[in-house]
Amino acid sequence: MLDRAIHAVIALGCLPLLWIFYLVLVREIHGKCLARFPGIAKVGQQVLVYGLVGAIILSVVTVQPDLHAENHDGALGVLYVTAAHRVITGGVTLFLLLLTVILNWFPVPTSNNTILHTTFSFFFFLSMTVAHLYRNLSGKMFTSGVNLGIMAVSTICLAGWGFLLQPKGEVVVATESTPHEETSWILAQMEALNRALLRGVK
Amino acid sequence: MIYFPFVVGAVGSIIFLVLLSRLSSGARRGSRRGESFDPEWFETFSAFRYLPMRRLLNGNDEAYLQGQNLGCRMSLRAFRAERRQLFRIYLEDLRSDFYRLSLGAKQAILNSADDHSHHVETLLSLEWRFQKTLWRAKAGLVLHACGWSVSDASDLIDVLQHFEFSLREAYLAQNESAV
Repeated sequence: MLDRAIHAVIALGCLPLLWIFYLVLVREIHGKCLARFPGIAKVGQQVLVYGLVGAIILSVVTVQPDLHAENHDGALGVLYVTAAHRVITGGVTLFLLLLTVILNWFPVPTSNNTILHTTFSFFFFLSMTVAHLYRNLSGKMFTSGVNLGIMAVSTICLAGWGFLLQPKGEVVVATESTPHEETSWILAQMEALNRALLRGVK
Repeated sequence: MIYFPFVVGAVGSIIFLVLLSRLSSGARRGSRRGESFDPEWFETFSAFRYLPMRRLLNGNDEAYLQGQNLGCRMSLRAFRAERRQLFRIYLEDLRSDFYRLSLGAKQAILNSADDHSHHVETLLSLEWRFQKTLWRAKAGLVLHACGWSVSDASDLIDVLQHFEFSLREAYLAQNESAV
């Protein structure tokens, strides 16, 4: 049987690796949604960098209740690590929400798999955030229940990823759009519109 | 405090599901009525069709009606309600046309082989400006229902015309060069 202390060190030590994988996952979803289009290359990159950093900063700003919960009776190290985990998952959740807002605003064609992947990821990270926040606020006695909840949601998400993502879902269903040659003239005038708007602002 | 995480989870889930349903149904802005941008529609489109909005709520016609002593108090109220109804219909069409133009610009940006990210910012600020004037017009409708005479929809029409004329100029230039 593994010693509890060793188990804790391994479990907590693996978390930073997990955080890196989370960020890789976000990068992958972003790549599937925005990075495919050269026309919005720069803005897509800005969304990834500023959006993710902004979401994590927002998540950090809300970490106070986790750290100063009255009911908390666990080890301080565990508290800090679970709070950091909550910050990362919260930041990723916010970023996925932002990405969905952008997809609603901009007519980016997305595959069924991408939408499903984003949905499972969102609920996976949201449940992690809620569970860790609840655990941090309510104390060690709820750890077992919270872990059970996380495992249940993770299993559902894994099943979804395993069974619902299919090769035919990779096909990007193009939204009703006009061929490039028929709309390219719009770009010619956007520059002038841009200048006019800037003048209007001044 | 203990229920706070669940409130966060519920609110987050609801917002995400609403956005997701809009995404899945393809009901994005500009295509709410299933209308996408196409050059044929643009050829027949003109923002001038919204000019009657300028006088729908401004009170001149009401004053004229009162001056003629044709209607009692009740019919004046009905007249104002009818004008608001007309204004709402125009407003919905105007909003739809604006986002249709915007959708055309977004598709052009998206389909382009070169980076046009700065145009995304232009569109964003244009849409924000339009949205603000749209909210003002809607607030004006509420004030009108309370009995106040409010300003007309000139700002909204100006934004739409500005957008249309900018695109029209390039469209005509392209057609001329094609000939």
